[in-house]
Amino acid sequence: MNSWYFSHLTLIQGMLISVPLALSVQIALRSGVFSFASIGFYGVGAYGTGILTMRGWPVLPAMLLMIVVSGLVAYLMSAPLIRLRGLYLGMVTFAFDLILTVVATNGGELTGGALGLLGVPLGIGTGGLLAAALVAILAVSQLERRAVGRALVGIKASEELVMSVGVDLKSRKRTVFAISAALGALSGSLYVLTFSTVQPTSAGFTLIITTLTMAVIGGTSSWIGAVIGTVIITWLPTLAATIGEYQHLVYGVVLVLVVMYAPEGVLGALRWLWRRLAPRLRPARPPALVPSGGPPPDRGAAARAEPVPADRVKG
Amino acid sequence: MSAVTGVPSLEVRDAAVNLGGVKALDGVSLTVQEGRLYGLAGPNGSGKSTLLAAISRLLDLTSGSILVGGADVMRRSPFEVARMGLARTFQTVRLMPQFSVLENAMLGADQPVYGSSFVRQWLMPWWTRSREASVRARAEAALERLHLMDLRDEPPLSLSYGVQRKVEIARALAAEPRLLLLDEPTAGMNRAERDEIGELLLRLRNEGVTQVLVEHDLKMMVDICDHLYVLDSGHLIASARPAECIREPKVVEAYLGRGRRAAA
Repeated sequence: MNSWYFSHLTLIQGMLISVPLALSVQIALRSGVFSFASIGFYGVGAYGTGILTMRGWPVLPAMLLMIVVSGLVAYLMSAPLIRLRGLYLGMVTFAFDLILTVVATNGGELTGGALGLLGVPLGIGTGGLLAAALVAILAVSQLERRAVGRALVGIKASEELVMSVGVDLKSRKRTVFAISAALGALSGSLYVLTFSTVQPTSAGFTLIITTLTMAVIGGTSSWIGAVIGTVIITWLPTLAATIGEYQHLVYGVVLVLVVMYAPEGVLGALRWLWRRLAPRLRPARPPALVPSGGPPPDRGAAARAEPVPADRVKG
Repeated sequence: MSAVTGVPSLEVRDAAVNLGGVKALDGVSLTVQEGRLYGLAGPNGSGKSTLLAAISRLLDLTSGSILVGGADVMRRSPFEVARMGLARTFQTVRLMPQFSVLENAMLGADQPVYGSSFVRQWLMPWWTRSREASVRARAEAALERLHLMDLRDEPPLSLSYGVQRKVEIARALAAEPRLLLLDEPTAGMNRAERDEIGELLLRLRNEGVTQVLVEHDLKMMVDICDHLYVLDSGHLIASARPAECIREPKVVEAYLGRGRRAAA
């Protein structure tokens, strides 16, 4: 176990770092906001935290600053962006990521040009990465529950519906945008503090594809899907070492297949299986006590229903 | 339940909507008094749904104004009008397929119960616990009124179209609205379901819920509405008690076409 852990440490760390990033894309897609902006903020987080810690900042304040700043910038940026729909928003945020790549390349001494930052002090252990991933999971899972969860899923079903039930749609979308950016910045900070280096290409096209694949393969309907996708995409290359340089080709093909045949991702497939198998796995249940596995019908609501008023005489 | 204040629940003043050169609404003015059930009739394409969209602020008027409870809402967002106590159903059902019937109904009660603070809803489960319970209670009461409690855990897409429409109505009722806009609530329902909805709307009326009902079923409108407004090609062509309204030559003409008055 121990030797396995150390020989796979880089993969384990990479996986933990990817969790917040995959979540950042998943939460956006789940809320019908087709945005890759969080990948750009991954770069902002990585460069920002790297530059600050190289100038003597302690790790935690540097990280927190970059996360908060990214969230705020994204919130301000989102005002014009959320007017864009679907693919157009995707394209604009895609361009935003590529612009940041150019900025990092031409940032002179501050960003280290095309070579990027080298020798950022290592500032976090695997335990810290795990803690950060868990915090991200907790934050995102709470977005899926209760009124917030219903409103965000509602956005994807119908924006008019969500507005008509009194949800401030623009504010919700902007908040999701900000949270997504903050998660991206968190992931980037973790990356630079773990591997002590970041290049302009780190937050480029390849990362967009990889992260999108993680979110979509796992299934965007829940944070669980993003975690499943992260695990799969992290370990797939080691399981199939022969893929090698064709890795991204395989991602592309897998992405197309998933979108065509399992749009709900692995999570959706598992749910489908569970619905199929669950009734067969518990045949020993005494019959007819609780129909179809649901909770017993609520008698309280029936008791609460008001007495029937006399109907108006038709006139 | 509702005190008669004298201020109309809803006033539409000289409303016009141009959609790409087509006048979907043209100079429509009407008043909706509190606690009564209004019918909005008219042939296909007469502007009924356009008017409902304008009232719920999902569509901007080209000119004219709309007052809800005496307040001009032309500068307000749809969600702000909803928070004033307006709820609506849609002509095409809008349900969230990944959620159960109960959760779909709960969406209607969320905003009135939770309020709008995002951070508290997001990160404070202990704060939201009692609210979640009362949202659930409201949603269950609404489902109960539509006899949907047995189906509360079902995914909505597994249900018949008529039942999906009832879920749509339950979601609107869960908000406990003061003004309810219903866009063809019984389309795709069978006779028994229609009668059930008709009775429900009458009960709501007796409880003081102001309603504007768009329906193709003219007989149902005549049976249950206090007052009928009839639209044709974006114009208001009649405003009267239902029984009188359907005898007006203009209305007969709009529904049956010219030269068919004798037949009616």
